[in-house]
Order: sequence, then structure tokens, then C-alpha cells
Amino acid sequence: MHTIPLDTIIKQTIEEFTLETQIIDNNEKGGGLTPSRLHPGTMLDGRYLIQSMVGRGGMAGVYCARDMHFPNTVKLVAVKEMMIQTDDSFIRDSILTNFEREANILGGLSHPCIPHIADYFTKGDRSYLILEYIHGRDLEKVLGETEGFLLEKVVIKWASEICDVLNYLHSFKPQPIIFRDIKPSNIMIDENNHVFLVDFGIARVFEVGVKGTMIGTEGFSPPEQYRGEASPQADIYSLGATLHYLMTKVDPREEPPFTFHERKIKKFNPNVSEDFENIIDRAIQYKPEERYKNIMEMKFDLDRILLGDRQEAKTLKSANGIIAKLSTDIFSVKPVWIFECEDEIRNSPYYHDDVVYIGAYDRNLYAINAGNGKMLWKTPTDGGIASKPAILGQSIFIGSEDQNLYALSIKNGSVLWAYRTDDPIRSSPRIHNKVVYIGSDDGYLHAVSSDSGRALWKTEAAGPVRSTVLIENDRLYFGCETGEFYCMDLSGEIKWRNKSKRAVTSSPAIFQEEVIFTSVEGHLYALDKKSGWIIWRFRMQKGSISSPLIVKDYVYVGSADGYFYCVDAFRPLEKWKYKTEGQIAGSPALYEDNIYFGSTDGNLYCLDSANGRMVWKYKTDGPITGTPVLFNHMLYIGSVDHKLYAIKV
Amino acid sequence: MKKQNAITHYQVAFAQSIGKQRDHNEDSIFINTGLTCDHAGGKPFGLFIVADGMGGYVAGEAASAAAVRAVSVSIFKSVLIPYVKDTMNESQISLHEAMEKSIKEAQSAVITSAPGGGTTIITALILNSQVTLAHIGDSRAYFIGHDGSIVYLTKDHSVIQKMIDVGEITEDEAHSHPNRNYLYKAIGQDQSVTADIVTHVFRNDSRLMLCSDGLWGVVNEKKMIKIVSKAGNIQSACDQLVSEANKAGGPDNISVIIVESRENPT
Repeated sequence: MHTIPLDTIIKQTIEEFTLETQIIDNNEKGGGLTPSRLHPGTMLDGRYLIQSMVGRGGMAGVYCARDMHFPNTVKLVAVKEMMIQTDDSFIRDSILTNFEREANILGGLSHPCIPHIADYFTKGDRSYLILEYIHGRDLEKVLGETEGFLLEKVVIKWASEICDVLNYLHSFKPQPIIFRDIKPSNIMIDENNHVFLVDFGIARVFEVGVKGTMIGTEGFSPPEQYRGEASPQADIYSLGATLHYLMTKVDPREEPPFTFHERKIKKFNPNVSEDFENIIDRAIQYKPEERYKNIMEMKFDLDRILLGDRQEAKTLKSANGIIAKLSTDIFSVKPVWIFECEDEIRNSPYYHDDVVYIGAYDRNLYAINAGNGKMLWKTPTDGGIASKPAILGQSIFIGSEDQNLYALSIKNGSVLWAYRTDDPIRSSPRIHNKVVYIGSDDGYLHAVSSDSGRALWKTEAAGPVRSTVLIENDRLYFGCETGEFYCMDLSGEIKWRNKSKRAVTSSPAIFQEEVIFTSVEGHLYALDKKSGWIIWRFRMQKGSISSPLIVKDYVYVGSADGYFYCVDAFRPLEKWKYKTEGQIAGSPALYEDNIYFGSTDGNLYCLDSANGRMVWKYKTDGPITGTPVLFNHMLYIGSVDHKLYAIKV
Repeated sequence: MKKQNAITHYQVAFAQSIGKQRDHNEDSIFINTGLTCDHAGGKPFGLFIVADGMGGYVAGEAASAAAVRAVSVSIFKSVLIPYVKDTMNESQISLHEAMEKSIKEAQSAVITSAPGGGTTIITALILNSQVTLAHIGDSRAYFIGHDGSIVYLTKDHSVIQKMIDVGEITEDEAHSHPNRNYLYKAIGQDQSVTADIVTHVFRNDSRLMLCSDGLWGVVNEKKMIKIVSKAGNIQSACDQLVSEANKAGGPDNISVIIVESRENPT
């Protein structure tokens, strides 16, 4: 076994798969093939007086020249010269085709951020493009000459302008144009700090389903470009890769391909805001479908940081007059019915047999017709209800801050029995084998007969138990407010305990051999369910009381940091996250591939579970702290605005 | 009288060979399997490591040995000793964090004691019925099922694997590709190196196999499965695998460890 330097590896890889690169490399290595430059003072085509060489690469040279058709004024142009020094007709044709493609594409474009083409012609073994001269530097130079890091706001402004110009290209008629080679050296910044996109040498007209040769720049090109595919998502990736480079100064050409996720931006440059990091992260996703759907979606997020407006999406007018309008009014989500209680709803509804049951801080447990929102009955307790009901047979069980666990008839709400604990109950009941398990602020987990309300046992925890018990394979798992997490058997004997630094209020979930829960200390924990040993923990920015939902191989959970996270269940690796403007205290629900949850910003969110993109959101008149329940294409959610909403999904 | 369940523990076998074309062994391995069994039940554990030193370096064998020593000592300190002592406290780090820490320690051990050397590493840490793997390079871990199934638990940090990922070449083409040994990640080759760490349930119907590329590079998947599922026991499987690699020319050092779970009724 042996290793070789990475740049050599990359070079070899490219050489095998990139015809264009191979041609350039061979010429560079050829030495004798290096063509002579145009010297200052040379008059080209009887019109362009060469002033200086401004760039050179492979077979191309770029010169600054004066257009002598304007003798009384100094009008500068950029002359791009392409040398064709080969006898191989295939290579010659290929170079000429590229050159003409660039000329033709540029000739058809009109955008303030794309240099105008004035002319193109061929003289002997050289072809020339005459372009508008941009007074400025390319981003590679800008970055190289910057001490420390570039300012985020400046980079975001440039990125937003690049989005504009890419949007112009991607929406070009009759067919979209894919630039395919976004990288710092192809982006010029002029004297007025505006962006220009230069070098359309490999841009191509996008035809759906047509595969092309892999070209682009290693490190900046997306994986699918290696397969010869070019779509707008390729430019989004390359822009993301460019931004990653600009913010970290870590050159992706010197790193293993497609390893951006191993180089978190903040690790290199802690000044980068999380919002910007998220935008870049989304743009450089390995799979095209997990990136932004289109460039304007990316621009929208960038502009949102610039505007500092995190409350409401706004209508944004971009430099070239393209309007991106994203606001909540585009979501035609309307409740089918709304039921109003007399006080806040902080907990979660329960659906059973066409009836929705919900407790409120007005002390009542309500039974509401799920179809029309009409109240069937309500039963008062002597305290606010923070607990979600559970049903067994014809009985419904609910805890109250009046310290009681109640069993009521689901028919009319009459009280069947009440079991009193020594402090308020804020945990929710769970039922297994005719035993109701519920925690209390008295610091005990109580096991109560569901038939009679008789105490079976109670086991002391280190603090108030507000976490709802999880029952699996004859084991009970729950946390308490002093941070302990317990595993007990069905007789209340503690099998193991673990301790986190702060309260465990969330209810656990099981993934294979692990029990997963959040802590107010700010971690999502995965413990070995046999020993309580910590397998992994995922750091969130703030604590969480949101209970995780596990679907397939992913954990979905919210946090007080405002983010909703999707984390790989096999390792503490974030798949995606979504930022809300409030805290997420409730838990998510999954229905037909979408994730639903509420935030204290008052919104109910619907996200695509695969990538975290918002499908819609609905604003209630108060914070949402409960969990939605979904059944038969209907969603039910309570809000602190006193209302229970029924929404068709 | 309390009901007693079966106690699971892990059995292990291994085999190693210099191969037919090398004059010294640059692979290092580590094996430890244990069980604590008391009134609360049995708590099996195990730590298994294969490291493959870089052949292009004089310090190849020193690098793999230093890495294995550093990782095993680190895991014993941060996980196995507290696990056996049953002392879990607030400052207890997670298994994934312990694995990360051990890799960092291996990195500095290699840089200090085998400068210029490099090594791959695959570490398997088993606690109860879960196995946590940390890997760097192209030494591999598989589950080989009694039913003839195979699950790849690691993905090589090799250029060839990247090319497979992006669909440039197929798995079959990779076997004969001239660049198949080029790694872009190895311990000792960079100032910072991050391992892929993942936890899986140890499947009762499967055996866990760790090996260096001296085995998988010359014995294909079908043959591996056939040998492992037909061998009378795991030691015989290890011996046959090594002999098969040598029959195929033995171009590199060969190391293989196979672990299986056993249930002892109590």
C-alpha cells in the first residue's frame, strides 16, 4: 500500500476523464508547443492595439487592448486569444467548437453582469474574442490578496449578484444556459464592487436528458458533472463550492473530491453566520435534489441575511428586475375548523374514533367532533392541563396540575376514578397491560391500575418527572427534571440510570438497540438501551424538551435554538436543519413524507422530510408548544392563542 | 426466583500472513473480548483492531503498531475500564467521542513515533449487542450472514471508491484499476484526520469480519462469503481466507479477524 500526493491523484483522475483538460495539460507539458504572446504595441486586425497581457491559461491568453476605431478616446477591450497548434483534426475541431460556442452564447446575451461581445474572428491558427473590458480583479486574486477572511456581507452581496446572472442564464429562452464552470477565477469584481461572470468557454445550452462530456474544474464541479450531466443544480453546487472557498480559504482543488461536509465552515472561520453556512451547505449537497431547487430560492435566502429580515419573507427586486416573491400568502392553507377554549393550549391533542380530545389551561378536557369542530363534552379538573390524553377501551386518561390522574368515560366525560399524586402532573399517561404509567412533579413514576385507579407501585426519581414514559420490551424509559434518565422494569426496579447535566423533559424514542431523547443541556442523546451507555450525542445550540421522532434511519427533533433537526440515527451527523423564528418545544409528526411541527413563533410548519425544505407554514395567533396529530388527511394542533385548529393536509 | 436469560458473549478468531511477495509484516492487529456477568446479567464487550501500515514508507510497520497501541489504550481508559467498573458519570463521553479521541491519539502517536509513516485503521468496539466502528483508509469491516449475505460496514477512503461513488467506474472495474491503492486519508499523513464512526446492532445471524486489503484485494466477495459460511468454525474460516489470499499471489500482508456472538443459557 502506498499513498501519493492528492494533487497528483486528482490530476490523474481528471486526465482519464476529461478530454479538454488532457489537451491543455499535454500542451503545457509539451514545452515547445507554448505559443508566443502578443507583445504590447501589436495591432490586431488593424483595430485592436495590444496594451498588456492580463491572463493566461492553457491555450488561451487574455490581453487588454485599445480599440483604435475610437481614436479620440481611450476605449479598452479585452482580447481573448485561443491558439490551435495541433495537427489532430479532432482536437482542432473540438477547440474551435468550444470557441464558437462561447462566441455564440455571448452574442445572444444581454445582462449587466456579463461582458458584451464586440467581435470574434480567426487568423491562421488563432481565434479571437473581443469583449468588454472589466476594470477589476477576479475573485481568486481578491481572495489571495486579502489578509484574514473576506467580510461575510460583502461575499453575500456578490453571491446574490451571481444568483441574478445565473438566473438570467438558467431562464434563457429558448433553452436554459448552464455556465458549468463557476469558480473564483471566473468571477470578476469591478471597480464599483459589482460582479461579472467571465469565461463562457464551457457553458452549454441545457437540453434535458442529454449527456455531455465531463468538463469543469475539479473541486468546484458537482459529482453529476463527472457523469456528463449539466443542470442548473450544477451551477448551484459550484457557486456553493466557491462560497465555501471564499469563506474558509480552504481550496477545494487541494482536498478530496466532494468532502465539503467534512470541512464545516465555522471550524475555519468562526465569523461566518449560521444562516450563511446553512445556505452554502444546502448548495453543496452531494445529491442535486437536496440542493436548492432553483437559483432564485438560493438568492432569496442570501438576500434575507442582507436585509436582516428574519420575520417575514419580502418581495425582493433584484438588479436586473427579476422579482422573487415568496410570502406566506402563497400557501393556501386554511383551517377546516377552529375550536376556541377559554385559556391556552400548551399540549397535544389525541385522535380516537372521529373525536379529538384536548386539555387546556382553562382546566378542561374537551372532546370535539373531528369532522366539524363541535364540542361533544368537556370535563373540568382543578388545575391546568399540560398532559396529552391516552385512551384504553372506553376510558380516557389525563393528568392535571391539580395533582390528579383522571380516568373519564370517553362517551360523556364523566369521572370514573381519580388518582392523586403529591404534586402537579405535567407528564402524559402511557398504558401497557392495563397499567397506566405517569410521572409527577412529586418526583415519582406512578403505576396505576387502569381499571380501578389503584396504586400498583411508585418509584422515586431524583426530581420531578415531566417526561412521558416509553414502554418497550418490558422496560420503561423516562427522564426527570434533575437530569437523570432511567430504565426500569415493569415492577419499577431500576435497571440502569444515566445522568445528563440538566433536565430531561422530553420523551424518549427507540431506534434499534438505542434509546434516544433530548436534554435541556443541549444534546440529543443516543444511549445503549441495555446498559445506558452513551453511544453518541448530537450537540444543539440550546436545550431541548422536544421529543424525537424516528422514521427509518433518521431522528427528527426540535430545539429551543429555533432549529428543527434531521439527524442520522447511526451517528451524530446532521442531515438537514430548518430555522424557525421561535423555540421548538413540541414534537414532530410525520404524515406521507412530510414533517409537521409547531414553533413558538406561532407557525405550524410542514417540511419535506427528505431535505427539510418548507412545503408550507400556517400562522396561528400564539406560540405553539404542542405536537400535531394527523389522521385521514387532517391535522389537529393547539396553540397558546386558546385555539385548536383542524387543517386539511 | 428471578428469570434468567441467556448470556451473550463474543468469540473471536484471527489469522495473519506476510503474504508471498513481502519480506516483512506491516499490518498490526489487536484483539480483546470480555464479559462481566453478575446478578444484573451479563455485559459482553470487545475491542478489535486491524491497521495496515503504508508500504511506501520505512516506518510502515511502526506506524500501524503505534496506531493500534494508541487506540487500544485510549479506548480502555475512556470506555472499557469505566464500563467494567460500571462507573458512569456526568462527564462520561459518548462512544463516538471516545473513538474520535482515540484516533486523534493514534495520529499524534504515529507522527511522533513513526514520522513519515502512515496507516489505515479499522476499530470495532462492541458493548452489549451493538458494535461501534471507526475507520480510516481501506481496511474494512463486513457483516457476513449465515445465509450468505454480506453487508459492507465501511467505505474506503480511496480515490477509486470516489470514482465508484460518482459512477465513473463499476465495482468490477475497480478490481483491476491501476489506482486502486491510492488513499486520500490515512493516519499519520495529515495534521488532522477524521474517522468515519458509526454504530450498528451486532446481528446474531452474522459474523463481523475485519480485514486489511491484503485479503479483500485478492479474494472476491463471493469467495469470502463461501469460505466464511461453509467453514466449520470462525478459526477455520480465518485460516482458509488467508490461504486463499496467498493462493491468489499474496501480494500484500494479510490480516483477518472474525467475531461472532454466542449465547450461553444460564
